[in-house]
Amino acid sequence: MAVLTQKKPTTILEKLNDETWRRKFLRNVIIPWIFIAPLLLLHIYVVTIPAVQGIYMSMTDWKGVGQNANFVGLDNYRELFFEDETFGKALGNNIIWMIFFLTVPFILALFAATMLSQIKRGGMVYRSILFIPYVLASVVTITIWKNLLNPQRGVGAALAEMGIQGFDIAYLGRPETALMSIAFIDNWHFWGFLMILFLAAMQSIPPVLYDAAKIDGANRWDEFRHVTLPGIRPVVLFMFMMVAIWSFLAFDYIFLSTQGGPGGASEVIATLLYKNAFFRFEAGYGAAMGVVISIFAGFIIMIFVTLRRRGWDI
Amino acid sequence: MRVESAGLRQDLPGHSRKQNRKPLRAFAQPALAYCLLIAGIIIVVLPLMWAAAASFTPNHKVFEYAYPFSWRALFPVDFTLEAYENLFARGFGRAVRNTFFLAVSTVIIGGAANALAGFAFGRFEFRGKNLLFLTVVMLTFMVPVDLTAIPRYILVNSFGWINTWQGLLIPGLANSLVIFLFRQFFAEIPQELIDAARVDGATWLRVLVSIIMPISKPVLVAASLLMFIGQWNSFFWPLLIAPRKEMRVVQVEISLAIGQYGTVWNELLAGSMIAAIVPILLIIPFQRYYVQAITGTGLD
Repeated sequence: MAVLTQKKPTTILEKLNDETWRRKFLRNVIIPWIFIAPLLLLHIYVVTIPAVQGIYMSMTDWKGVGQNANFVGLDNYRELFFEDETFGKALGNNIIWMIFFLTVPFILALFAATMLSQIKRGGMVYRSILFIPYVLASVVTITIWKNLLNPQRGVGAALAEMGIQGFDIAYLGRPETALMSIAFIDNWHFWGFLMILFLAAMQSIPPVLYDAAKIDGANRWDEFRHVTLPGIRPVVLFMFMMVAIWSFLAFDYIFLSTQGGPGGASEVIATLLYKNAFFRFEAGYGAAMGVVISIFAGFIIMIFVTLRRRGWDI
Repeated sequence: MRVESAGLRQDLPGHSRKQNRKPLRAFAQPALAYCLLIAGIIIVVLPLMWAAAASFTPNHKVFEYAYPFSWRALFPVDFTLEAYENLFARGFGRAVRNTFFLAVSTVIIGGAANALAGFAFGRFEFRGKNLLFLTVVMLTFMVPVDLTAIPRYILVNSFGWINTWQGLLIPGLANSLVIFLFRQFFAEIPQELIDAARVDGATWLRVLVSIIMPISKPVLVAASLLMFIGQWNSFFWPLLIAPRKEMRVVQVEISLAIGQYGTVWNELLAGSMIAAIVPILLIIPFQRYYVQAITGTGLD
């Protein structure tokens, strides 16, 4: 330990000779950075370098193979927004996808969580079963539902056999139904996740609040509106933001079931990006799509942060 | 629970309208709740039952009871292990082993890197901490992988890591959600516990290994589950990076079979069942930890 009366070291040499300073330096700088270093290295390799490269690539006409990449400025972006109709269509599909996922799974999850929170016996079993689809891989879910939605041997065919006509259509093969069918399958897998989150949030609401509401003569709906909903609001709003972002990243369900078809009916930005990068040898153009998706995500986060600053308490 | 306690008491007739309604409401609401939940469970369980039954059925009979539909479609009435035998005869076992190896490596190596970083973010004060947390953890948590997928592929390719274990493994190690989880947990450990050890002259690493790790079982289980299931289910990156037959993981093997012409359905479903059973078996006993993990990560 250093003597108490010693003056603070100023020059580097003094600092290095001072034991207190050395200890402090070790404790406040060296050790934390040693702890962070593995993650930081991974991050630089997996995220930082590729992100910078991606932004640069998006301003070139690079094909994805070979050495010649010419700098073209914002040409790729101009083409994306003003010339490429498939991109406009894909963007529109992403927005439809977002609207679907900001409503359907939220309503289902809120509803089921409210129901589950009332149940005493077997609640854990119900919860586990409803949550199972969430841990299944996209590949598994698609394999099962591709069969169930098949017009010749799926649920529709079975219904037709029983006399209920009109459901034996190729849900994934028709332009009008393809996107919504994939959204249905993805939602089958996804909504349990929201339900679990909402249920956990509901269970952390103090029961006293419900008793108070009951004394005030509130019915179930009043309770839901004035106690449950405000209690779980932070989680719901946060998930709104995350789901909005994830909607622009939608990829694996679409890629595995229709690859964006038929005729681009279920094409989204991410599937288009993948095709451009790995099939059409338009890596630069694909990278520009990646940047656009990131800008959308950033935009959604900004809205969220702004609302929070305005005192929305999210 | 709250509603039922009111319903057990039989109110006398002639009371005010509100009190009269209570017993009925208390009975009807859970009943409705059960009915709707059962409907939900049917939609979740029947597809899985059908798939499981079909995977134990000879291929020419896979759709026999589904169309026209009978209860037999949900149970393996013509039980056979043919699909599983054929699947493993064609090397599916290797895919299972590959996936296990990859997932376990991710849990061990990624777990260590994320835990160390989570500890630093949760317990140390150092310059640039908040900025680092915002850029390294939060941004990666929110910002799309799409931006980085192609350049990352190109980077991995330039290292010559296509069809290698390091190419498969390294990009999946850093996990923002897991760092979040560790940070949250470590930040809540009482300072006295650490101080006591520090006074006794223990180094930080020692504090981490012999004091913090033993009390961190819940967070370790949750983080391991997240990483294991995430890696077990991942399909896009392995498809891109390791398409070679010897290195394929379960999901890639199945996804390549989906697109094939003349798919052997019972084998495909058998593969899917193997891919599904691992996360299900993990999630049932450890559900509590998993739920804590996804709900406790700064979402509230």
